[in-house]
Amino acid sequence: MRLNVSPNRMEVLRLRKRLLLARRGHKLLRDKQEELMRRFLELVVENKNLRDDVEERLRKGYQNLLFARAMMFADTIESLLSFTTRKADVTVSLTPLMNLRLPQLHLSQEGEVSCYGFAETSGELDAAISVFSETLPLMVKLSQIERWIELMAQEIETTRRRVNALEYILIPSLDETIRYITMKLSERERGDITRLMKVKEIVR
Amino acid sequence: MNDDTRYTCAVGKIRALEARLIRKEKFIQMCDADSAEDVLELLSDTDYGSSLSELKNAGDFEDILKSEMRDVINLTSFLSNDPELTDVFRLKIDFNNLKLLLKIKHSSFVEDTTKFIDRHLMEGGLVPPERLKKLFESDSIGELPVELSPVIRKIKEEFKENNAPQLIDIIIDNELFSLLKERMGENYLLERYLQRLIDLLNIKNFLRAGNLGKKKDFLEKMLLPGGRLEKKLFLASIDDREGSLSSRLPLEYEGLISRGIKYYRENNSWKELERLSDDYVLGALEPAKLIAFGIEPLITYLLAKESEIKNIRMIIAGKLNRMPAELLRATLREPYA
Repeated sequence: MRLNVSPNRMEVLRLRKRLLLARRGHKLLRDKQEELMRRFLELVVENKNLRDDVEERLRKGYQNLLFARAMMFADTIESLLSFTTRKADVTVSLTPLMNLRLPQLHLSQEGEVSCYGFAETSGELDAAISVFSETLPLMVKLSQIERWIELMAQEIETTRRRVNALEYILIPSLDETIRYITMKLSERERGDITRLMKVKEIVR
Repeated sequence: MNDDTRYTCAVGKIRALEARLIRKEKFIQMCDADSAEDVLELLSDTDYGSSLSELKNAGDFEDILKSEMRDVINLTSFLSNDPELTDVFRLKIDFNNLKLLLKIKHSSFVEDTTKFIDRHLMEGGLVPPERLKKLFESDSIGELPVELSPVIRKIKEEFKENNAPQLIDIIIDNELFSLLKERMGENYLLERYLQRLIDLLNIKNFLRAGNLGKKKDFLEKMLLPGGRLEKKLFLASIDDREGSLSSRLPLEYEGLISRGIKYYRENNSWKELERLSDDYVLGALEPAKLIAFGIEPLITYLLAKESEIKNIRMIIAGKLNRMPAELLRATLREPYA
């Protein structure tokens, strides 16, 4: 699509500069898109492995908890687990990455995992709690990776739209407009020469 | 031969009740049922039938089981001529209620405590929950039964140094088992049962503590008093808990513990050890079937009913959570009937 500009030499020069800039921007955005895509795919693989690992651990943990639940009354388990001294806290910091500010989650834990006596409780409860306690840092990491993937996907989408806009709209329009103005100027030049030759013939 | 004729009538009643305990075939049928509702249907022609008819939702089955357990404890107390002995089972409930109240008092528990206490305090102890709560709130420890007040004092002293709620459980469990030993120790059969129970609990808890990385000082506090196995046996095995403990155990426990440890290593689960231990402990009371004069059949019936309730709870909870039938069958305790 040709741009609506007046066909003169100044405009050609301006448009050539814009075209050069657009091509440079296009190359940069394309590189950014490729790098984002590479990191995105790495994260997707890591996310899949981590999710499988977390799901397997949770499956085992819930199985242990289910057996503990079968051995003891539900409200006994609830009251036992209500008095834990284990405290967990998550803090968030931001990491810059290619125009993105990715959240980095830091988990800190303190205190004892087991907070009940052993005489009246099932060993399955220990197993369940140990599994859940070991899985918590992985779950925090998983949520961080999933958020990163979400943010990167949005950024890849935006970058892809920009690259496409440059590649299929702006650069072809600039090319077409420059070509049009150049042809218009050449046509005007040819017209001037013809007119000059005609005037010269009349004068002679 | 025991000639305690005070229990002639009570034993007759217990024998009639024992005949109504659920048999293994019925438990297997329950394990193979399609759903928790089907299990409840199967239970309808047992002692639980009348209470089950009032049950609106299968998920509320635990209330029925708790009330059944309370009824059994009340019955044994009623039939008993040795209230000191049968009251121990009611004191067990009081001790559990005490654990809850003490933990709330000594920890930074933030939920709505009144609601939490009302929901979790259990009925059936020597002190009704409401009274226990009031006495505890007004700090009138002296008015509590003589078995409870020294425990509270001991916890108050210990908590000046250590602030872990686990310690409350440990102190109360130790007191409870000392009391059990004191009250049951004079009866040969019950003492044998209690020794097996304490020894196997100590072995299992020693292994559990090892897995959780607990140190020697914790073990010294945690090991229950009154068993045949001495503390020094456990403390000597502290560096290689699973390996060296098995070799130091008496022959009667060695096979059972080795099988339990093997299963744990393969499946990261204590359920096989717990099942074997429960069966072996209840097995100590088998001779009570032949006793016609004495308190043993009463206590045995109570413990058999406790084991039966454990099986029912496990099956229904398993069915509600879609556990496979073969897994449920493998976890089933050997019924006394």
